[in-house]
Amino acid sequence: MKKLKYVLALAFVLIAASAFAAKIEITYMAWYNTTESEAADIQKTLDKFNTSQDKIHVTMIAVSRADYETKLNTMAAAKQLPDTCIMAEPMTIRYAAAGLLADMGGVYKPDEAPLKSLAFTYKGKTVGYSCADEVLLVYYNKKMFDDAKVAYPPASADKAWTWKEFVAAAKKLTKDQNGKTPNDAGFDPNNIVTFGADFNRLSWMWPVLAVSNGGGVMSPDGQRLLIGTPESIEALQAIADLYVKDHVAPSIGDKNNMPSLDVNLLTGKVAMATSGQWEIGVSLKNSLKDGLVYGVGVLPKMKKAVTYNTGGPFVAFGSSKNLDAAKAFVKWMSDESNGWDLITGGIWMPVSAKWYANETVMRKWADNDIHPPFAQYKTAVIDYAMKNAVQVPWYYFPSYDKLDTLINSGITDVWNGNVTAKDYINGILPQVQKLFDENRPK
Amino acid sequence: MKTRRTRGTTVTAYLFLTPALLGLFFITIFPMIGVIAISLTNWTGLEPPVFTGLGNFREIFTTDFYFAKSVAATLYFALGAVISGIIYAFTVALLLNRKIPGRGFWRSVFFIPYIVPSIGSCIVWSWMYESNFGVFNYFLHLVGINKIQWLQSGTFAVPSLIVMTVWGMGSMIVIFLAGLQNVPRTYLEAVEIDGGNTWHKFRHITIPMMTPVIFYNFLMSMITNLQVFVPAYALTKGEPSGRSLFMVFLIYREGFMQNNFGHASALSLIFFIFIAALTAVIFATSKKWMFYEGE
Repeated sequence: MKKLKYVLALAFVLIAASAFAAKIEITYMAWYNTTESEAADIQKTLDKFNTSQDKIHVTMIAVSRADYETKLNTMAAAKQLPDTCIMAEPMTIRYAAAGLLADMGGVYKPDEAPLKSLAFTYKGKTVGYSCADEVLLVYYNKKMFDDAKVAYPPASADKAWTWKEFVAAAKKLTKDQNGKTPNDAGFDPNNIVTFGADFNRLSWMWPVLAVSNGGGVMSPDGQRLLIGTPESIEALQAIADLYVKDHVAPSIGDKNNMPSLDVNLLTGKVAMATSGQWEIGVSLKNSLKDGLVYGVGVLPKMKKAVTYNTGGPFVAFGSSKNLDAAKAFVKWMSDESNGWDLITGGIWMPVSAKWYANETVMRKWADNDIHPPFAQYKTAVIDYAMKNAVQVPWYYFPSYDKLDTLINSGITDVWNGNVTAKDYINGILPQVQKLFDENRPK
Repeated sequence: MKTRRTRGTTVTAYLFLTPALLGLFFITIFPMIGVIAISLTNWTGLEPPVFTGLGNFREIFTTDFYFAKSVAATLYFALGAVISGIIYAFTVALLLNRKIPGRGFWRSVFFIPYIVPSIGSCIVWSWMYESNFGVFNYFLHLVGINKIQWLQSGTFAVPSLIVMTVWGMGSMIVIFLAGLQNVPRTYLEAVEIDGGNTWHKFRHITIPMMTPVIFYNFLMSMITNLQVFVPAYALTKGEPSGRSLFMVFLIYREGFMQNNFGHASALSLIFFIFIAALTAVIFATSKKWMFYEGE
């Protein structure tokens, strides 16, 4: 009897061990922005994956967003890369060019593949798809527009404001401490209490206006530098003039010190501002309970209505000893059902075409209390994303971060009006051209 | 001829020294050799390195867009912080050396900033410098002065960081204080007997007697502040327009953010040689202005 017990115990241990050993172990590296509770939320998703099947077990490596690039680069240098990770967009193609990212092209069936606009590609190879679709938009406080008797920013690309119309509306909405607008005599630009417009000057965001003007940072094939074109310079100067000349935007210093978008709109500090789709779930929903009534529109245009689309990609590293398992996990992560709360919560937009196929499926994720009214959201965001979005160059250009750093290395002087856009761009252009040529895919 | 006892003592000494020597080799010398080796390559950390000889050094002195900016920003910050720090710390030490009520308390108050973690103090200072709600602009507003973009303005950013750094120089105050307490009272009394006033005592006794301490604080502060990193990392990221692009931050950005480890290593070596040379110059010139009682 005693022997039987031992045999049974041994058999149990062996079965358990073999079951455990049968699971392929992989790692997934992800960032958390402010608190480690975000990491706990990601862990819940991984737990769901781990319990959904019995072949692969994934372990998370959680890293603070501020240290993410440093950590990943250090791991790469030490040849200790994880199996999979979410990648910071600007460095993705640098890793692809170094041959470190696995080809994700054949992983998805045609009907389940993410949108082509979300593919990070290098020399024809797709190395990852964005975890979400994100586009740049205009948000505005409806009440402030009503009070100033100004028409709302258009909610469809075919009716997008021209830059002139955008500035004219911003001037009517801007108020100094005496209630005067920049159109009134005696307006005090040093004591503005409400800024009519805040066109986002983040280094990767502002060039969208240059694209709209026929310029941009580079051509969509990554072969021609466009930042020095008159169209790009004109767009840069136009954005700078919102503060320098038109007195409708906060200075770059004030902007950096401002609270989140929802608070800016709620408190009337800003009447309209450009930012990403994610603001609906990250920021704007937080002030709905306090009475914020906001709308969403398309960006103003200079020549053509256009927006940027972006989103950090899930990638698998070619160095993984369990590459098939790593790819399977990445594919699983791309499935909308695993980020459904983020999608219905207004932070992400789906990545696969099936969720944009018709109004019925769109309503499943976008028609709720958090999103703006569906009719407006559909034309201003979904249709805009499908028809008017172009990729930020980090989808195809290696080391876009280096180019971005160089282009914006002294741009504060342009924003503050200490130097014109033309002089600034022309001053750095030889260096930018050199860096561009060194990194251009050949 | 060594006796067995002497040999035993020598072996024991080396055994005790072994941990320190191992530490010195693996933590200091080995990484330095590594930096020299990496600086001669184009290593990105992503692909195998290729030997490029002195290419990185040539590039730094000819085409590097950030190097000159970074040198200027670093020297501006270091000189500003060292000079204002020494004036501030010496002045406070002189005051704390007097018989004032609650002297122990005040000495603690001025030392506390030194023990506050630098990241923490950076965050608190960033709030005070905040342009809309910060305390500095609040007071400026009270007296009718327009707000200042402390950390975003090309004019004010580095001076603001210098003020923040000087505030944290509590250890320098303590060292000055220790030096002041070693100034012989007999010399000061001799000046009084000769009819000298407070200024004469300060100019002709205190300052000369304090020169070794001033030298020490100057040297250490210069080395520390040339290697400034935290304010640029935590507050400004090298902005505005590269005015706070301090050298160590540039090295960090080039290496760990942009995968230019070869270039970053070359920058590190140049910076190391610069600090070593500057230290040698400071030492060499110190004999002309430093007073040692025994000489």
